[in-house]
This record gives sequence, C-alpha cells and structure tokens, in this order.
Amino acid sequence: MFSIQQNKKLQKWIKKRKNEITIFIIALFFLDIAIFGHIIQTEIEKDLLKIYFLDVGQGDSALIELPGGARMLVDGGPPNKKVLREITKALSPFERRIDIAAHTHPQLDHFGGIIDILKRYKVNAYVSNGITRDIPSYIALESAIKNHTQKNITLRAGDKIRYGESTIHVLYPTQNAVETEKDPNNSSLVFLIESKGVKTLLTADISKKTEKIIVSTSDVHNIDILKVAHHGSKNSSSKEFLEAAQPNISIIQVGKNSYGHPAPDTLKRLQSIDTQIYRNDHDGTIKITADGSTVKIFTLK
Amino acid sequence: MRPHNFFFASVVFFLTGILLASIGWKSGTLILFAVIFTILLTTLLLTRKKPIAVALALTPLLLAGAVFYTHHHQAFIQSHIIPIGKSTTVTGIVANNPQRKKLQEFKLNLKDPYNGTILVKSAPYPEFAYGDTIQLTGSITKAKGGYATYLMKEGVGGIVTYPSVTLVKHGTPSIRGALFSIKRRVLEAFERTLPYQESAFLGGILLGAREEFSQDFKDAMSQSGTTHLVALSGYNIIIIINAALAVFTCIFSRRTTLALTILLILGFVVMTGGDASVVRAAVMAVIATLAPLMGRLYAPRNSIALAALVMTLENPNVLAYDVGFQLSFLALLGIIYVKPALQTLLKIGKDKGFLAWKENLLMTLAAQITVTPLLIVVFGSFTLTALVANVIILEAIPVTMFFGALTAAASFISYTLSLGLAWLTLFLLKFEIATIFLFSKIALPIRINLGVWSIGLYYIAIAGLLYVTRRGAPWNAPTK
Repeated sequence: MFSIQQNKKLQKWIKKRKNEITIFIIALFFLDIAIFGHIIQTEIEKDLLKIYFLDVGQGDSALIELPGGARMLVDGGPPNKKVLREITKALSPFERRIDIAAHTHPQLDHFGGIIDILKRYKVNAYVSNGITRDIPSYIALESAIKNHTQKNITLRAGDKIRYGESTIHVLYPTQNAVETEKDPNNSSLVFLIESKGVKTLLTADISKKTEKIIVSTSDVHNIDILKVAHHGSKNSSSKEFLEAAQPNISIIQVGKNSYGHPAPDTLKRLQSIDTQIYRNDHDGTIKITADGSTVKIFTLK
Repeated sequence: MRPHNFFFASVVFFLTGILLASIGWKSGTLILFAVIFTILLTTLLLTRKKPIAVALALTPLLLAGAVFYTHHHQAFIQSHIIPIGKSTTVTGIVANNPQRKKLQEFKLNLKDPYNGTILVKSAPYPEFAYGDTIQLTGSITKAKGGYATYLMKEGVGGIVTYPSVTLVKHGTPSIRGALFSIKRRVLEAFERTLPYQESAFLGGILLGAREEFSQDFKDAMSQSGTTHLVALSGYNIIIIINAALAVFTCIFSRRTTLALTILLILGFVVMTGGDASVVRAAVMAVIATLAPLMGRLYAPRNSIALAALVMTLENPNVLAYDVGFQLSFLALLGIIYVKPALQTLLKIGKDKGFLAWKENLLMTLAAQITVTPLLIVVFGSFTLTALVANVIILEAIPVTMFFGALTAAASFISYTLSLGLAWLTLFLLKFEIATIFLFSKIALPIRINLGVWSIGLYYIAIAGLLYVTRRGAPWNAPTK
C-alpha cells in the first residue's frame, strides 16, 4: 500500500520536473565524458617523465613525476601560496598524493611554500640536508613535517632514490660540506635525475665554488635539463661548469626581486653555450615531458 | 498611528541623526531643525493632521542620534593612547581571527600603558590565534585618506607592518576562540580535499573566508560583478536556517527548535568573524524565517529598520563609512520592494522557471537596480553582464553549499568520506569559477560620473515605479 502511494507520488513528481530531469541527465552525460577522458589521459601519460618548474615568484620549486606515477616536490618557493595554485596545473584535481617533498636548503624562498603543501597534500616522506634553523618559519616547517609525514630523511652525496627504471642521485652535500660550510647555499642538496634517457640537474642555490667540486666528483656531462643555480645569480653558473654540463634546456627559476637575478653576465654565459633558456618570470610554469624518444616543453602561463 | 509605523518612524529619525552627525553636521544645526519642526508640529496639531504630527514629534530623536554619534566618536578618540611614529614596544591581545594572506593580519588590543586597537601586519610565521597575548616592536603609523576612515569604522587607531613579534602567552579558552578553531578546522577540511582555487571559493561562499583568494581571482570576481557571492548574504543564512529547522524539528519541540536555531545562527555569525554583512544578514534572516513560526506578523520594513538600528548602535560609523553595509542594505531593499514591482511589470507569474532561474533573475535585477548608483560612486563603473553571470551561478550555489557543508561534517568522521563528498562539490565549484572567469573577460564595464542630483533623481524614479505598481511599496505597510 505504502509503496504504491510512493510510486504515484514519484510519477507525479517526475511529470512535473520533466525539464529539470532531462537537463540533469544531459549534465551527467557530459560529466561522464569528462571523467572518462580524464581517466584515459592519466593512463596515456602514466609512462611519461614529467617535470614542472613551478612559477612561485622569486624562489625555487620543481615537481617531478617519474614514469609509473611517483611524485617528488623539490622546494616550494616562498610562503606566498603561489605553489598551491601552480601545483594544480600539474596535478589532477582529484590528486592529493605527493610521495616525497624536499627542501634543498633551509632558506625561506625554498621551504616557505612547503608548509602549506604539507598541510594540504598527503606527503609520505620528507627529505632535506638536515641543517636546521632557529627562526619561526623553520619551526613551523618542522612541526608541519612532524604532524603530516611518516618519515623525515636526511640525504648526503652518494645517496640514491630508485623508482622503477628511474634514479635520483644525490650529488651534494658531503658530510664535510655540511659541517664546515658557512654559506647555507653551498650545502644545498643537488639532485641529478636520470629517467627516460633524460638527465636533469637541479643545482639549488650553489655557487661557483661548489659547482667546481661537483664537476670533479660526479659525472655531470651531457645534461639535458639544467635548473640554473641560485636564480641566475652572477656568482653561480661558471663558464667551466656550463661547458662541462652542456645543457640543452636551461631553466631559470626567478621572479620579481631586488638582487638583480638573473644577472646579465650569467645570461651571457648561458647564451654562449647555445642552450634554450626558459624563465618563470617570462614563461610562467614550465612543463617538460619525455617519453624516451622525444622531449616536449610547454609553458603554462 | 499604528505601533509598527511608530517604531519605523522612530528608527528612521534616530538613524538620520547619526548619519548627519557622522558626515559632519553640527548639533547646533540639528537643534535649529528641531525648533523648525516643533513649530511645524504645533501648526499641524492645530490643523489636526495627526499621523504627520506624530512623525514630527519624533524629531528629538534626530537630535538623540546626533548626540549618540558625537559621544561615541569623542569616547573613541579619547580612549585611544597609541604611540604613533617612533619605534616602540607594546603588548596586547589578539582581538580577532588572524587573516592569513601573504602577511598575517590581525587587530591587537593594546595593554597598559597604552590603550586602543591597532592593525598588525606581521610575517606569516609564527602563526598567532585569537586571544593570544603578544609583544611587538615596530613603528605604528596612522593611515591616510579613504583607508583611514575605513580603519576608524573598524575601531582601529594605527597600523604596524612587519614588526618583530613574540608570543607572551596563549589565550585562555573562550567560546569565540572555540568557534574560530571550528572555522579553521572546516577550512582545513576543504584545503585537504580540494585544489587551491576551489577550496578558497568554497570557504568564501560557505564561511565568507576570503584570505586565500588570489589577486587574479579577486579581480575576476569584481570585473564580473560576482564579489557579493563570497560576502555572506542573507541568502546564505536563510539556507542554513532552513537546513537547521528541518533537522531540529524532527527531534525537538517547537520552542527548543527555535532556541537551537537562533543559537546556531549566533555561533555562525561569531565564527565568520562578525562581518557587518553577516550580522545584517543574520538579524534579517532570523526575523524573516522565525517570525512566522512564532506566530507574529512579519513586516520586512521593520526588520530592516531593526537590523540597521542594532548594527548602528553597535558601531555608529557603519552608516556613513561602511560600503559593504550600504550595499547590503540597498540590495535588501531592492529584493524586498523592487522585486515584486518588477514581477508585476514583467508579468512573471508564480512559475519560477527551470531551477528557479526566473526567481534568480528577478532577485539579481532588483538588487542591481538599487545598488548601481552606489557601485558607480564607489568603484567608478558597473557591468551589465553581471546580471547574466549571477543568474547562472546562483543556480548552482545552494547545492554547492549543501555538499560543502556535508564535506566539512564528514571530515570530522573520516578523511576518505570527506574526500568523496568533496569531489561532488568539485564539479560545481569548477563550473562556478569558470563562469566567473568567463564573465570577467566578456564584461562590459560602463563608466559614468554621477552627481548627488542625478542619484537623487534615480531613486525618486524608482520610488515612482514602486508607487505605480504599488505592490509591496514601503509606505503600504501590512495592516493586519
């Protein structure tokens, strides 16, 4: 009895709302197409190496997605929330996972934005060079790491992160550098990523002095993608280092600043080795993909 | 004169007094007015025009309003002892919920030997909370121009940017502090489940939180004429009241339900930071939704007057200096009085159209008609396409708020559950944000200069329109 009455009510309701229901069904159909399109695209792109140099203003931030889907965020820019906005250009809106987050050295233009990332995304492991600082923003980072990640790892030169056929080599700092170096820039973590036949070198904020050490201790020849050191500062990217690395693509992570970054001298040195230069202040976020045979560059302004 | 008309007239006189005093009319001028009115009053009493005479008898309220404002203003100036200029060290208590933009912004109530409130813009870390006692060193400055009147309205006597700040002690637990932390918790639930822009927008439409809005999004909202969506309006609160009533009536008696709903709205107002627009909306919505339930007559005119009175008593500066306050009142007047007139003029019947689009169109159009002169005076331009943008977005807003609230509630139970619900909200949010950006690009801004006379003529014309259609005009107060 009850169900029949309900049924009649329902029929009446459907009759009354015919237009609404039709449009609702059409909307669902388009939603379906959107979702399936998204799933198919994710499947196709799953086997690519994807690197995003995020436009975070004056600071560094790179998101690396290795073939297979593991993600690592190296630096997060200053605490201006730009990393939060730019990372949505790299991640699907359903995606909450970043496997590893790292800061190369404890300066605000490198770790500031990571605090917000840790609070909002699921970060499994945190990586740093282990040097701490006694300033409010760093204390806030430490508590975010403690509250939101499972592991907090300190890395040194010679350490490696392996995932599938990709390897991330840690080229610097050595234990000695961490203990003796006074300039925090010169104990930065330096990563060399080898994946899909592409070599990417992330040099953080190191100066010429450290570049020299790295050239003598590691194989940094024939680099494909170079993150130019220290936002294009004149004290970094020496001629010797650039000639050894011979990068095809050079990325300068720079925004509005009062330090004169990137320095005209550095730009000249880069031009002299014949490399394609991209910079966040002109190009916005830079996306690079590699499938093993071709490398593609997109600028996402 | 009927009591509700008497009440309305009294409030209008009192508020006019406050308004005149706050834009600089001296008490002397007002006394002169009072004398003239008294003479008129006596004449009218002798000729037995009773209602007008009673209204005139209320002129002393004009003076009372002016005195109230002057007294309040003097007290504000005298109570402030703020070291302006040189670098000083002061201690104080954080007086509101800090806004976490690029810098951290909060009001600080100074302690002895100083007194008053200053606005602090400090580094993002360490993060402070409502009620914390802090010590800061920096040079406090006074704002200039329009910003200064805005700050005066906010009760702020100085600003300090990038001071060095140390925490003295955390605040003791308070109801307000607890509500702020629930708000923080709800916003975090959105931040952990939705992308940046979408979570910021959801926090905006549900809780009026605008601190996470990026500059280009704010620009897009103002260009498309949709900024009011994230300034909590009476509309949002009516949705919340209806939801609460639906749930509570199943469980409690009528009286308990009413009490609980009012408590909920009160908590909501505090939680959102007690913004002018929220208080106005809450007073209005509570009267609008609950008065019929309590079996009393609901007269919109009187609730608007009451809302204005309550807010002006709390802060007499809002009347002349708070654009948000003025905009929301004008919009409300539009919705209550111009909308029915439009309905008659355009011959739109009870059929609300698909997803009530006709209703939304009427509401937006009515509000737009009353606020446009103010928008032009304040912002220098307005846009015609705002109407279309608003009608489209308003279709989706109630559902978005509903799923947003479910997401927040679920986050207290399980993260995965809240994530699933957030995805449902995501599509709606994407649609709304895309519409805002689209309409910011195709906006047709119209720039004209308006003088006092043209504005006056404009409103007289609207009053004329209302008079012609007569339905729901303010002078036709309900008589039953």
